[in-house]
Amino acid sequence: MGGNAAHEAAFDAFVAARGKALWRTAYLMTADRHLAEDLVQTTLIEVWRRWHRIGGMEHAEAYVRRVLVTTHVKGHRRRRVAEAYDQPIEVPAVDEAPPTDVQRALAALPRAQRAVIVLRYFEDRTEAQTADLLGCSVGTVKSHHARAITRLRELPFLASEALS
Amino acid sequence: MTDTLAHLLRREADRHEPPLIFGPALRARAQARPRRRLLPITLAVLATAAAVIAGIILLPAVSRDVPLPPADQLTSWPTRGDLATDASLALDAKQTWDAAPLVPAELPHQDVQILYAASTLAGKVVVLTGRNALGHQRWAILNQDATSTTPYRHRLRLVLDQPLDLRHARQLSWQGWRPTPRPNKDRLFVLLTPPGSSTLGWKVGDVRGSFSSPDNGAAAEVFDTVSVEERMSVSWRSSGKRHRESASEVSTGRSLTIQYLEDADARPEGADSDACSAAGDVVNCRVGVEGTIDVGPSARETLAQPYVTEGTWGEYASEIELAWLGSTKTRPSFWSGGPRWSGLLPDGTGGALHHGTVGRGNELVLYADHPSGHGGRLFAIRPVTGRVPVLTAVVPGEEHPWLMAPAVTGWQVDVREGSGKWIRASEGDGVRYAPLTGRGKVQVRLISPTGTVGKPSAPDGQ
Repeated sequence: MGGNAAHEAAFDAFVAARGKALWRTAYLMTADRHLAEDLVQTTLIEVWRRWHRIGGMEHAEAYVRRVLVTTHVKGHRRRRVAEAYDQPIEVPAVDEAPPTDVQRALAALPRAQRAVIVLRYFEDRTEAQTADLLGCSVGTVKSHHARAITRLRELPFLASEALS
Repeated sequence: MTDTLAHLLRREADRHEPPLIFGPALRARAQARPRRRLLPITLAVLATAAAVIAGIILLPAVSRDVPLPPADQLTSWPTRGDLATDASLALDAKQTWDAAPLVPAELPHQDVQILYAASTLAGKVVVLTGRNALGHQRWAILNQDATSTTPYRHRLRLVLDQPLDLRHARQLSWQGWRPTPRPNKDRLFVLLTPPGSSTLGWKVGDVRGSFSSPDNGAAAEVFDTVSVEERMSVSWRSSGKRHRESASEVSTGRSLTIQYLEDADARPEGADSDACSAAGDVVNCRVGVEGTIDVGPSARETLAQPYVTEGTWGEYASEIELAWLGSTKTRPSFWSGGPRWSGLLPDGTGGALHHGTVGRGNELVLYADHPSGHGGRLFAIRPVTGRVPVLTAVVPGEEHPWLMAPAVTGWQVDVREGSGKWIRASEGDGVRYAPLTGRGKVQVRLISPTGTVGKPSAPDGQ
């Protein structure tokens, strides 16, 4: 593990600069604030363990994004809200606002389809970049995308507003 | 559909303020096996206690009224940053500054020094200072633009250029957007303090932060979700004292900011001049008033000229508008306009057609650049009186010049050099173009959609 001061400073700077942006992507992928925080922390902890092997900072972000997406798609779990990914959002905790239509729409999608939608529309990735991040073929991305859009179109909220 | 879904996702992502995530706590968790739930809490308590203790120790040393020590002449500061010894980057930066869309009479710069050069999450950042051709000391920041997906993506671009008062400047600082291809809330902070300084920090509103890895009193770093406020202060420690000052410049939008003496191109340093005169909407000022041109990418609007409004090379809209303003000496308040077309020729040469109303009237301008250059310029400025179906210009390319001719749909362009044959310009990316040899006088003729061949003429701008 890269434990010297320079590595630590570089990692801390990276977390300070990119932590919130990672959280936003994670939030859309998980459709849950707490799951998102946990996903980001899990990702960054994994990243820190390999930080000394990561080349310049420019590459670090691409690497971290890949770890985040992979961790999410492969089934990152949080005990408190186990298995919430592939099911509609349940009744929220008392201290939280009710889920929004977008949250519900995202939560209605399987994990991989949700990742494709977030990467394509929120992060503005190309199909090739999305495939690279997900570690699958462009054809698979297209398939996930088509199914996700079809599913989103079935939702009254998005059918009328977003996908008309 | 794409835009709506993207908008909904961004709105959803912005509904919540992301939690604070601390690198040291994550590192500690990575080392802790097995994971202990108490550890983050303990770390948070310790961090809080440490912050309180540090505040108690440091705060008395901070005084806004403490007279600052005489600053070493800023121009004697060394080059700092991890790319300080990169000679090619330094040369690139100097050439880019000289090719920037500044008032022509201010160029070239003299005695240019690189004050800082570093690689950051926002790409390479270069801070430099020098005197313009009129003798005014200025400083500038150049940054790479990660929003570009064209052959220009590795190029340095000017993001700030403003006067530098060497008598009073003790630090140089700037806060602006971090350009990325995707929406973000990142801010790029740059702070240069006297060599030997330490504990570089910033404060925006109620939010404080510190630079994690300054190099001998200089740093550039990206911070996430810092509120965009004009009031930003920076702090540092030197000679045993802590100093705090307002930031030199805060760019509140994603923009190219050039701050200048309005009459700099007409008034030598120190000349006594205090009059403003106006002819029509054109204002010629002879007052040493500091003015700011702050130009962002223009919104596309419906204009009379039916040119294609989409473009693949719209990344230099700010530069084009500034070059246009510089050429007309028109104040921004008397100027309006926007892009009509932009595109790339086969070798990466970029072109952009803008239409607008300046102080002197309604105009079309054609701006062009090529990837191995350091900045583009206007190649044709044409007053619009009636219908202008084609604008033609000879522009430099990577290996040979081009005829570049944005045209209304259906119009064709022929070109010839000297007494050579007429050649029909190719069409692609919304523009007519033809390679030229650079030998012989260039003539063009327009062919209307009905086949009517116009009279030969020189390209616009010649």
